Formats: sequence, C-alpha cells, structure tokens
Amino acid sequence: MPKDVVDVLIVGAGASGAAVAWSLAETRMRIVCLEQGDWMNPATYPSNFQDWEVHYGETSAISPNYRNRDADYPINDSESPIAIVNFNAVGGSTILYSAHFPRFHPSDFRVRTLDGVADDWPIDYFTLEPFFAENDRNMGVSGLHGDPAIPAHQPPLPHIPMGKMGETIGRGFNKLGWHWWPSDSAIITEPYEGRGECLNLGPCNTGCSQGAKSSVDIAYWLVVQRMGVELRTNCRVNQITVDSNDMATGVEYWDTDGVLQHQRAEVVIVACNGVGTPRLLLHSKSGRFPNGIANRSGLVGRNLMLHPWGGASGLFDEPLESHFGPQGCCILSQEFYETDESRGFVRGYNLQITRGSPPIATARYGVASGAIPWGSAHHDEFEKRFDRSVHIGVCGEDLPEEHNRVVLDDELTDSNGIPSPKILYRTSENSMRMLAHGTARAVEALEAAGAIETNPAPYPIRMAGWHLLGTARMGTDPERSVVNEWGRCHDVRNLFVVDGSVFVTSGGVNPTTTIQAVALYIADAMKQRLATLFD
Amino acid sequence: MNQPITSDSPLNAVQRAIFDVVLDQLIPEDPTRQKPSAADVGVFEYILERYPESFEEIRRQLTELDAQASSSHQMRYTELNRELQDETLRQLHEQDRRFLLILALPAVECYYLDNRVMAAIGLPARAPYPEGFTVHRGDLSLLDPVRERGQIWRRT
Repeated sequence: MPKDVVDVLIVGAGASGAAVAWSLAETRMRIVCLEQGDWMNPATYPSNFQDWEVHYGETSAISPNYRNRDADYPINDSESPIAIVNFNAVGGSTILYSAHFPRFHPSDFRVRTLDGVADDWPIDYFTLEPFFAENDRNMGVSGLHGDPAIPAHQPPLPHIPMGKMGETIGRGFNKLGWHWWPSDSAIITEPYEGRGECLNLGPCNTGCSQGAKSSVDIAYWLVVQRMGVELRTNCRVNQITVDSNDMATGVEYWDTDGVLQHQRAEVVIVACNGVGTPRLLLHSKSGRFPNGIANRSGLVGRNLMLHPWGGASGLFDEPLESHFGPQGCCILSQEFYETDESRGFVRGYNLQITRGSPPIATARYGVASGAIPWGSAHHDEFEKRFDRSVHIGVCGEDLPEEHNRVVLDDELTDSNGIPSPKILYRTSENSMRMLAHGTARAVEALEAAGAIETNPAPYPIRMAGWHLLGTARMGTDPERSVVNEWGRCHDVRNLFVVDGSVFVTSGGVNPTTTIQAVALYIADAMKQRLATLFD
Repeated sequence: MNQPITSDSPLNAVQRAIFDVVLDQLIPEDPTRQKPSAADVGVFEYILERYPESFEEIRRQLTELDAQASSSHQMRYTELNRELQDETLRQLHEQDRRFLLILALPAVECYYLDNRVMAAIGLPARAPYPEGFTVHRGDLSLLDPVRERGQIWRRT
C-alpha cells in the first residue's frame, strides 16, 4: 500500500495537521497523515496519580532534550536564550499546551501599515474570522462573549471558572482601570461532543486525564479518522522528494517497523511546526533544490519568532484556592496589546494570569530559594505561601528578524540519523523593552490586587519557547516569502505549509487558535481551487 | 562515619542516624497542625526508589556534617543536642546555601505526598483524577467597568 499514490499526504498530526485533514476529508480524496509519534494514553497522564507533581520533570517534561523519547528529536538551542519546547505524538504539542486560546487581533495582520515594522500579512483577521469560529466549534472552546479587546465572537461553551483567584486579580485590574476578561480556553466546561467537562484537575500542561482539554488527538483525530483519513503513527519522514518539474512526488519515511518507505502523493502538506517544518524542508535537498526544497528565496528557517516571555509572581495574605483549576487558563489582560510608542517599543503584549503553585512546587521552590526555612518555621512559611500565589505571564510580540533562524545541526541527530534543528536566536531590543514594561505592569497589577510580596522573573524566561513561528513565511513575493497567500510554496506548486511557520508576524498571544484558523483557511482555499490547484 | 556499609542499604547505621536527624531539622513535627516530622514519612525509601543515584552525594555531605561536629564540638553529630546540631548545620549553610539540598528537595516531595500532611494542608489524599475539584465560576459583575469602557481593539 505505501507505494500507491495518495491524493494528499500530510506530515505531522498536531494542531494544524489535524485541522487541515478535517477540512479536506469532505472531498473524499485519499488522505494519509504520517506522524512520528504515537497515540498518547490518557490513563498514563500524571493527574491519574497522587504524586502527579513529581512527573513534571519526567515523561511530561516540556523540552524534548529532557524527555529523550524516540518520538522526539533533540534540538540544539545552545545559541538561543530561549529553549524550544514541544511534543511529538498524535496531537503534537497540544498534548502539553495550556489551551489558552486568545485570537490574534485585526492589527496583528497590518503591522507595516499601522506601525511601520515587519510586513503586513497577505490576509486579514476578517478573512480568518469564519475559520476561527469553525475551529472553536471543532475544538470545543469556552469563553465569555463581549470582550471589548477583540472583535465580537461567541465561544460555544461557558467561560472557564475564575475562582477566587481570578476575582482577586480582576479587582486589581479594575483599580488600575485596565482591561481584563476571562480567557478563551480550549477546554470544555460542559459535556460536549461525547467528551466530559473540565474537572479542574490542575495540571493541564501534563496532559488531560479527563479529555476535557482540547488536544487535537481527542478533539480532531477521532473524528477525522472516522471521516476516512488514514493516520500512520510512528512514521518519521526523512525528506520530501521532488521531480524534474519541481513538483513534489511524495515523501521518504521510516515506517513503524523502521523500514524506509517512499509514499507517493499528488499533494504534500507540511504541518510540523515552526521548527520541525524548516528542518524537514532544509533536509529535503536535491539537484533541483540544493539548499532545501522550496527554499529558492533562502528564507526557509529564517524569521523565527518565539514570543519571549516574562512575568511576576505574587503572594497574598489569604487563601485564593489558586492551585485548583486549569493551570494556564483563568483571565487575561490586553490593556497593553496595541502599540503606544510612548512606552518605548512598538507592538504589545498579553498578560496571562495563571494558577498558583501546588504544594510540592511551593515547598521545593521555597526551600531551594531560602524563602521557606529549615526548622519549625517551615510550617508557618509554607502556610503563608501555599494556596496564596498567583502568576502573571507576559507574552510579548516578537518581530521577524532574518538572523533569528532554524538551521540543521552539523552533529546532533535524531534516532534515525536525521540532522537536528539548531536554533540561532537573539532577543531583540524591542522585545527586551516590551518585557521590561510588561514585567513592571505585572508587578503593578499584583500589588493593586493586594499582593504582599511580588517576585518578577528574569526575562526572557528560558524554558518558554512554545510558540514557533515565521520560518516559512507567507507572502505574494517569491523573493520575500516561502509560501503564497494560501499556503502553497512558491517554488513547488503541490507542496503546502499550514503550521505556524507561515506566520508573517507573531501577534502577542498564544498562537494555536490562529494557527488552526490559518490551516482551515488554507484547506478551504485548496478546496476552492481543486481544478486549478497547481496552476 | 567510617563504618562499612554492611547491607544493600546505601547508608550505614551512623549515616542513617544523621540522615534522620537532618530530616527532623528540616521539617520537625507540628502537633498543633497534626503534621508529622519529615523523619517519619519514609524519605529514605522514597529516595531509594526515585533517586538512588543521589545517595553518593548525600553520604558525602552527611560525612561533612559529622566532621564539622567533631571539629567544632569534639562530638559526633548525633551526640549533639538540637541547639548545637542546628548551629552546626547553620555553619555549613552559611558556607554553601545549597548544602544538603540534595536531601532536602526530595524530602519535601515525599513529605507533601504523605496522606497525613495532605490532610493537614486541606487536600484529599488522592489523585486529582477522576474526582477533580470545584472552582466557582466567578462574579461577572466585576467586568462592568471593562464593559463600560467599550472597544479597545485597534481598527485597521
């Protein structure tokens, strides 16, 4: 069977691969998806166990370099202040994401016009709006209608519980006159499409045992398989093959038994995220493409954007029930999202309020830092800290710079011998100013809410490279972009990219909902053009 | 501290005695809160199961602690009264703030997994799943000032 020609071959079963597979499935084309990881078993997730906190550093570690699973590939991030974190499995990084689901703003697609920096996107917010809504329905998104920081939309499920913690911080924002709102979250708060509602287990970012968090293995793939898409797991793609007419012919991959196969395809869609996608394109070298497939612009791997993170923690003098509830989702503030040049930087950031530390994390951090002493005072100090902490994260827009890039490492490889990605990245002056401003505002908000102690984090936070964007950018000019305005590679007319690699700019929010909206938009554009897809 | 290890245990009897004293110094019993001592929650077995490789360094640091007691007070560490034990430990912490963290960090992990301790801090002694927890949805009237201010997103 692998030697047959399939209509569409998708590489990667994460957020964007799942969305594009779902959309294209209605065409009844023969669609195959290759995923280097396997299905996850929710019965093994940490929240099934009383000692769940201890597993943070084990199988649920967010860096592939610490997990050391065969499904992962190591990443050389020694030349970046921000480490890359991701996950490889059916569901991709949505297995471990926090499911914080704010949309990009209309201004995010017009940064050149509005602020004179980077480039405008060739599409806009309102082009994507129906695909945001479609994705909200497919994923199961909770939220509260009426947020004045974003064009009106109606999430299908009631908002995530704020709890005492969210109310406390909300009152602080009110004192300052700042915007805040319950976060849109890809977590179902009521039974939905056969799935049980959120139980407030806490550690969403170690995998959701209940299946209430909308990781795409649950939200998309179970449906997509029933629609007829074939998903092959434990299949790692080596390279995309190409013919003398600059058309992709399929991919070479190792199957689940470790046998090298060639899968022919009429259309190849790459959905491996902003690091995995340029890695695959750069590794797909041939006589026609000596610098990697679809890379005649030389831009594959360049313009990497990571969302440098900052933040601050606050300690309160009363219990806030802050360690219960979805870890990364509560409320947000977009008071500083839009450009105000008087702040000393362009573009802006999102303040993401996340839940407090659970008991072991409280004790470990306290003892290691000296905040919780040895001896009988341990009990008093622990009591003052546990259940009384809140964290405000600062997610700042990262502007594209060509020197920030993904290249192939000269020595490091994955378990199949494919060169690992190497990250060459510097945090820009604009980002550093933004993080300084955002960290100070996070402290200000915590103090306004009544925090008796605040601890700003050094920035950029290293272990926070979740958002991998920009490395195969979208545009109408083949010399300034890798894919066109509907995701097709300029150089290879049957090769598409649908993940965060195509982003022209990064916005200042968690990007998954926008990644999926873009993937659905590209799939729709393909369906509209089926008769002329390769023209 | 020079006694040979006579069983499969990574600590000899003297080392184990110091180990227990140190744990009690880290987190002593608090009868008022119904919290046990860290020496009474199975830390030795916990480290043996999860972090057995750390015993080599733990042994080295316990030996250093005993040597400090001998040097300062001409007594074994376990023979000192609690006041002098605390003073000896403090001296080593002043030289190196991370002294014995290799024991203290897994000890607090183990401690806050103990059913008695979880009950004392108001948590049920169980996994989060499947019972979960209750978090109230929140008072949406707090958003009135945000609503009243109106649209803040930037038109394009």
